[in-house]
Amino acid sequence: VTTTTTAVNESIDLFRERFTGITREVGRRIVGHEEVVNLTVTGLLAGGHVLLEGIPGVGKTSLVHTLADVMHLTFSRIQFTPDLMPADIVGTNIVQERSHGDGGGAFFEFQPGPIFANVVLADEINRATPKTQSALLEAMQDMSVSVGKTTHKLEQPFFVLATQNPLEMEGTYPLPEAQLDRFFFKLKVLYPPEEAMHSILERTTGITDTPVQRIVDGKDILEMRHVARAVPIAKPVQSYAIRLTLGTHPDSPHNTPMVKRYVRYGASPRAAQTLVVAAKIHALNRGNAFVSADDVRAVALPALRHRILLNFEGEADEVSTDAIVNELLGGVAP
Amino acid sequence: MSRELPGAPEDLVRAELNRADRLRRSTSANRRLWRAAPIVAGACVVIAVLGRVAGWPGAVALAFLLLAILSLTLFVLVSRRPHALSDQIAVELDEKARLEGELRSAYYFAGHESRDAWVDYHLTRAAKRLEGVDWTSLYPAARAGRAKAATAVLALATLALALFVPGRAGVFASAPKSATGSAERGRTAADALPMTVAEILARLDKLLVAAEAGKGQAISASDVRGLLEQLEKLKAEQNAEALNRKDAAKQSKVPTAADLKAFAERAKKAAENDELSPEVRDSLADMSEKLKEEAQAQASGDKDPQDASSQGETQSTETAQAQSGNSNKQDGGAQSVKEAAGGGGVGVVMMTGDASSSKEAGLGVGGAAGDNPKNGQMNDLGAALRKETVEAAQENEGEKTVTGERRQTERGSATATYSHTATADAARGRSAAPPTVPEARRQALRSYFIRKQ
Repeated sequence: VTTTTTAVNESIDLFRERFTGITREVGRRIVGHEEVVNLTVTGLLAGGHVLLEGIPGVGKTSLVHTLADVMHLTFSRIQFTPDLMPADIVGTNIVQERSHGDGGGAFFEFQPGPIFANVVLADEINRATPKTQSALLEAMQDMSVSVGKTTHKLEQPFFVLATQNPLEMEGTYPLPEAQLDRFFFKLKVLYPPEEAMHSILERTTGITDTPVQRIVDGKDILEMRHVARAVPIAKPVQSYAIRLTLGTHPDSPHNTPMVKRYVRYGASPRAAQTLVVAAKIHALNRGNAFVSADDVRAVALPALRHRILLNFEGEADEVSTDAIVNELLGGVAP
Repeated sequence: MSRELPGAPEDLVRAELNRADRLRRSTSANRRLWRAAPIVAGACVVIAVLGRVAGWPGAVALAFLLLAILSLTLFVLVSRRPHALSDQIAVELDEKARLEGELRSAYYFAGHESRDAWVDYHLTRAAKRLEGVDWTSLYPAARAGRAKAATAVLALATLALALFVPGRAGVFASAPKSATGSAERGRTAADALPMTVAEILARLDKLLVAAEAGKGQAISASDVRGLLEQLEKLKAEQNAEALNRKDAAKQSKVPTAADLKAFAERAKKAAENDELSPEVRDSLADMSEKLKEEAQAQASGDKDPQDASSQGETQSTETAQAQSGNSNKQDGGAQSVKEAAGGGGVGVVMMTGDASSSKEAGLGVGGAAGDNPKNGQMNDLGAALRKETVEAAQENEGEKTVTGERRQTERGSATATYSHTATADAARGRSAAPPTVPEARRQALRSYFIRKQ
């Protein structure tokens, strides 16, 4: 028992060390968004994808760039536009000519698209047509793309960070709820505070760029994912995560008055999965080998806010799903 | 993590949880106990005081006190009894010790067989953290010094009230008796009935004897005033039946006008006694006046000795009738008016006594049949007339304010009833106007309701 517990202890320490290292290095470039950085790394370690929502210029793209640098992963960026085609994302078969030495002739060869990378930045994802969005979201779900009759596996770890601008909604194609559900977290990147602005200017307006150190690679990330999923969770805590998820439904006995009034559809079971996995990572990050209700609460907002579909009254009253989740956290007993 | 645990981590977790839960329940029970105990003890004191006032036996308060002690003891025993731990209790203990969910999680995994390295690590770490928790400081024993003192004082007060303080009945029963007036002050419910003149005079005689014997200090003004009140009450009530009933039971003790006058004189003399207190002397003077008036009233009533004797006979007859269950006697004893026989006046009034009840009723004004030659004569009629006059005077509504009030009240309620009925009729029955009477039939209709002279 002592041997195994020692190994567990070492795993936890290593996890924390790596996690802290990643966030520290990202924090060298990205200032004033510690919570967003933590949750983005959590989403990455959970094997999910993250949707970043924020106004232009707050550092969304820089965050993704820095993450890729720190984690020593391949990175690609796709700027979503209305004329972007699925083939532009997943790749396409192109005709190639064989050399005469090989017998000559032509053949089709798959040319991978930008999605074949460890970290993919889907910038302004809501500007592409639903057809193109679907191509990306299918890849996010299945971790593979199908071109013609051939399925191509995506290299692990595969992590998509999509961004969208909440202001300029004209000429956009908002993501449907089913596709929003495929994002592990939806994070709101807010305007940085004044103190953070000073740091940003000092670091970005000088002669030299702020260098970051590579902390982990793809293998380490996969190892960290494995460790995170090994954390045990007690059934009462798991029940709390389930009650929170069910509470987002207007016909659930666990819901709250706001849910009853403003919600049309609640979160899917995928939300409960997200809550548990994210809570495990949160617990590990605190150095715990168990999941508490506080861990679940800490990740509830980014895990549930994009999975709640408001009804007409909610849309008309401009009710925020954050307010609904916060009420739920206060109403459901842990 | 290097320190070894004395046993299996899950056992340690369970043991620590049980210990903490025992302390938690004990503290909670004590806190509630000492919050409730002074209230319960106070209730016992209230019951004891009420018992003293109402004259309940002291055992009632003691029984309440005992019941309260038993209830509180039962509450403590039930609260402290060991019971299975639950997730809710684990959460409460976890929050109290600020273990951030570790105790709750460890409690869950300690009760499950499925284990891996992570669970072992979790339990081991939880057990070590639990060892460092000082549960006695988190759940300190309830001091509640003031509550304990208050409870003790109130319980002792209940005991004292129940055991040593006599009730109201006990106070009157055990009050010190004076030489002459003990019977008057310690009167029971039977004594509260109006006394007869003879009884009043008997008691007055005792008082006067004491005064004449030079024992004036033993006489209190309240004794004399009490007798005076009894006498006035007797006169005011004019309860002839009660007087007759009691006097009949003590036929030989009916006081005469001379007796009353003699008592009045004695009372007057005693009132002049300087040894007595001014209050007693005043009361005796009042008593003397009252007795003198009674004597005069009785003397004026005894001017017609025949009336008096006939009244006595009538009273004795009525008494006999009341005691008799024989219907024949009752029929015979009742006053009755029959049609006039041949030799009479306007009518024949037959007054019969007890002795002649079984015989033919004697004639009144117009005859003298029967064994008793006095029956049906003028004195009987006079007595009967006087009795009826007294009864009529008692029924005179003009002299009785209470009767008048009652009648006004009746009139008021009658008015209310009328208005209520009228409203109901107007709402239901007269929804449509009555049909108009044709001009040709009006005369006939008017003549129908007018009685012909």
